[in-house]
Amino acid sequence: MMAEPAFSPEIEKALDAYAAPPLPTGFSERLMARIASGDTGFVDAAAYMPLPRARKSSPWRRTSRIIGSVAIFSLATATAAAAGFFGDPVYVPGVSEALVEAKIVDAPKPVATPKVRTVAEAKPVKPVMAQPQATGSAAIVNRVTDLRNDPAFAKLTPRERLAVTGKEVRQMVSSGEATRQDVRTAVRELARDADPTAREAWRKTAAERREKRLERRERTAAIAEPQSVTEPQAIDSEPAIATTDAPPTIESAKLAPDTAEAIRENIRNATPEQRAALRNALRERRQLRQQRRTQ
Amino acid sequence: MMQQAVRQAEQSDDELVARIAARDHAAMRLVADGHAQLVWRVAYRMLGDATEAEDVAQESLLKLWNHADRWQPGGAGIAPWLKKVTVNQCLDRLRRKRFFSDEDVPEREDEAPLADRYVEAVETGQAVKDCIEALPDRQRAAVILTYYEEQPNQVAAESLEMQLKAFESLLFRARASLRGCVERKGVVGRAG
Repeated sequence: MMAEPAFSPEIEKALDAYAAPPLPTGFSERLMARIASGDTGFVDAAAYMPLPRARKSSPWRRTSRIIGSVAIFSLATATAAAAGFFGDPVYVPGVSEALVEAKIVDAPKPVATPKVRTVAEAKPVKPVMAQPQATGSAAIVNRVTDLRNDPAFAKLTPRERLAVTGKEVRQMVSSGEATRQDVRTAVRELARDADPTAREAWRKTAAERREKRLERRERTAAIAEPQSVTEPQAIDSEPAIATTDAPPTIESAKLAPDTAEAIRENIRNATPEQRAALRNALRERRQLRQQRRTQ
Repeated sequence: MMQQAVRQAEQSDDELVARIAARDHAAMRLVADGHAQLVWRVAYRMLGDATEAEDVAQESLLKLWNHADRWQPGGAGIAPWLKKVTVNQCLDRLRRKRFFSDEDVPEREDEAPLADRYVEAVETGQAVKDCIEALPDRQRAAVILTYYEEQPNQVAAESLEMQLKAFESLLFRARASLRGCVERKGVVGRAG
């Protein structure tokens, strides 16, 4: 029965033994009777189709249509724009690019992390040496040099310059910046560094002053011969050099023999009150001398 | 009957269907007489029940009556169309029956009178029937269409609305199952 031998002949015989019974009698008549009676089981879909209602689109349907139309229009225009239908393609930055460009908050400033140094890596710190401030004679020399460089100082007369310089030096001595010994040293340095003409002028001035001082001393001794016990002439009451530009000259403490004999004679002939006054005067001078030495 | 067969042969299927579409009862009677046996045979082998087979056979022919106006001339003809409709209706009915009741289909007594000389053949046939009914629905349809109805694989595949390769695979499995069942029943050597 079969075109292609799918079964063995024995199997085919067995399958052929399964024969369908004959068609029931009256099959066609029953069928035609159903057709004649209209019992065909056919349902006319068109007859039962509900009439289309005059529907008014509901809000939901209207909204969905609007949204759908907008979405389709947007998609179509975007596609057309991207395809260059409207001209050059419009560059639309992507979200990622926008995020890259976005600056919501300032970027945190980089925090400088302290670099840990080991002891071996640490460079030896050079001790910063304070600039030595000039003291003593150097301070006096600097001060005098500054005064000389001042144009207003240069306009003064030599006497006025000497007075100003002496005033400055005395202030330095009184404030403790320099001692009298420093003043002497400074005068020697200034004299050494001065030009020969100025040095010669100083020597001349100093010699003149020394002559004047000697004359004044002899005159004083001659005038105050009876009263000179209270003011010994051998001691110079003026400051040694503070107010002069000349090198310091130290008065000799030795007196002439006749002067010393005259003083002794005056002391022997003096009253006890005069002797006490002389002692007090000598004590004061001694104390003053000691103070000068300590300074 | 002989005259009807001659008249049917003289008229093509398309002409007959056109007349049926025009509600020609004579044409419908002509088609029913010519194809009822075919439809009944397929339905009976698919369902294994005479009553249900008659229902399916009548419904298949009524479908032709109802949808004759949609007939497209130049097709394979009425017989293949009826086979396809019958097989599909049987599959629907089997599926529906399995959905509503998972009980086995009650076997009905064979109404045909049993003669002694046919006892053995009937037993073999019953065994084969049991084996065919044991097959899955589509495998059963594939065997019936290709073996009993002698349809080519391509036509049978179209009847089941399957691709040819898929149908051939289905048919291979159906044949193997049927062969094994028949051999297990021990009726191979008895037939004939």
